[in-house]
Amino acid sequence: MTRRGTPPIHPDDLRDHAHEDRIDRIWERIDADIAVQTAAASGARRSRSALVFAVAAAFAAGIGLGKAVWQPRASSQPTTVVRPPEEQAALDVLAAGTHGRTFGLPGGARVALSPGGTAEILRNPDGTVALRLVQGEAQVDTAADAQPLSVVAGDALLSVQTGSVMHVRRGSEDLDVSVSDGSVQLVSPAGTRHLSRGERADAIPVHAPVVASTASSQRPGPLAAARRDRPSNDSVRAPSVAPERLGRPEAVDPAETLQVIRRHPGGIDGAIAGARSAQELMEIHDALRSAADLAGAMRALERILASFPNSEYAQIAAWQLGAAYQRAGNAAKANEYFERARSFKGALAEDALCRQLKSATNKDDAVRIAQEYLQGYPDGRCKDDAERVAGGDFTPPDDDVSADAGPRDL
Amino acid sequence: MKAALAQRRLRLVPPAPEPRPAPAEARGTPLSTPPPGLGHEAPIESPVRSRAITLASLPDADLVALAAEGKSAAFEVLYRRYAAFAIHLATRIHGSVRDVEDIVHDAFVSAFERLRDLHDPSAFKGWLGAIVVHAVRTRMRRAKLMNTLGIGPRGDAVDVDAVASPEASPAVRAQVAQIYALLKMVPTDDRIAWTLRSVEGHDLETVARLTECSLATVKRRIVRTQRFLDDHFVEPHPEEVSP
Repeated sequence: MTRRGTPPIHPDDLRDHAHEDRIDRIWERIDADIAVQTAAASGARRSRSALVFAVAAAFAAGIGLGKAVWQPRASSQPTTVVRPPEEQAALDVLAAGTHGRTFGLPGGARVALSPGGTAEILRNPDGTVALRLVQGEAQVDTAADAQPLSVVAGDALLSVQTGSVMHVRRGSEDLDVSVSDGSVQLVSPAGTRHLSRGERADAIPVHAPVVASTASSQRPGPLAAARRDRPSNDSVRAPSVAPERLGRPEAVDPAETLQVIRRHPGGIDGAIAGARSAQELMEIHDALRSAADLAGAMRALERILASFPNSEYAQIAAWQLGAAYQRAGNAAKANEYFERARSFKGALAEDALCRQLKSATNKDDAVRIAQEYLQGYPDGRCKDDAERVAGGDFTPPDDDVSADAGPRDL
Repeated sequence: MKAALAQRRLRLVPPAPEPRPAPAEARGTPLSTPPPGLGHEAPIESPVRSRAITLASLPDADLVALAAEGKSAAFEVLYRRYAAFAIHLATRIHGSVRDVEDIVHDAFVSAFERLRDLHDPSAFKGWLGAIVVHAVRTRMRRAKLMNTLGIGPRGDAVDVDAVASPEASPAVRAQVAQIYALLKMVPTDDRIAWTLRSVEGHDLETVARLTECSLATVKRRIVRTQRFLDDHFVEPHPEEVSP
């Protein structure tokens, strides 16, 4: 791990919760309350109304206070609202900073993170949770009344039985495990081990070995290796489903892939974050796009660019993101990703430049792009347009950009 | 969002019985004093010229004056004008969407009750913001107290989706999650000041007004929190960023 100053939070990276539905819902409650107050404050029966209002207010305040004291969670939940799936937290993050901290987990287990430790709570569809140790050290305690807990670290899976205490340290390439009580099943790329009280295992690899120069883009997913090697021990609880199909080189059915990633313990975002190759991410992207989850599909593409910038899929990811932002009317972001696509010098570089030409809103920019296009692709498919613009005949595009959609265009 | 709000504003006031197109320069004429006897169901009539003026076109000061007389339609315009501001303020300070509707509701009801106390009606937004900040602060301190007593909700996990956009990159979401996790460790007032400055982007004077304390105090709180974050922020492994 490394230390540095706190990065700034950009406003575009913050979520907008001011939905129309929410605004309407809150107003309905406000309107009802101020109507009572207005009625209570007017008319010849002012004093009597005030008394009634005071009694009502005291009654309401009593109920509110009672709810706040005895049911702090229930008081915060709107009575008529069901949170849509996209608002449900798919992932919780536990971070210790420089001070060690202890957290209670759903299911009764407790995890104590050492300074610098970071972990994520992955929620299974059946309500159970798994813990993903991102970095640092953690002590996991599944007390006698707690449920078993799975701890994921890279491609390794630790299944902690009820009544166990385990200490685990995660490095960038390996992990150390020691069991001070109970028992733990360890499944890693190095194989499967059963650790009992007083036993420890050091320098366990957390990633499957890379066997060829291109293998880095075809490594199995975070739980795939563990799933493959996991013994048939039903008493050991593990994340319910692993995206085992996602590591395969052959094409898969998007609908089938979608089912697999939806059963991932961390949901769709967990599958994206846990993918170990650009190919996995592209398959996730295809599946999400087929399900009209464009935001999720774009996150998969962004992860390709962030984590696998040298893969064969990076250019198409950049190109697709550019096209998606162009269709959304975000010219700046579209331009940024088309520039990225062009930087790869691959087959889509010309198309990206062509799209930049067609979506340019400024004449100077358009002329510059046109000249660049003619120089780089004198016989390209946008040659006519480029010559026209370079000759000074420039017309800004309509707001609704309708550039040619490619075969994988979002 | 703005377009949607504009649409809602347009339907706040029913059309006049005999609509007459007004010259463009007269439609937005603000009223310096609210006309007497204005009802929810009627468009506003200028005392000088008989032209319909929608509530949505009025400045805050006029709407505050009308709402203080009990005109709920005027207050609804104020609400819809600043609901998004209040929701964002509450969510980003609190770091959770769980209580945001209760907080915003309580803040606007409180504002309605105290409209007559507002000395400068044109400063409604800042005044409302201070009420929201106070409401969030109260809840955060109460939650902290209940946690100390062992009767609060369990766990200190960060609700990443409450703060970070789902369209943000996994790396950014991981950074936001860690920053909010660290903010849970600083005093409530320090956290609020830093969030208003560094997340909401308000200038120091505005932060001082919203938190109802001096500029020097605000600066101290922000610097203290920034130093804590800089000292404790740990960059995750590049391949292990959360979504």
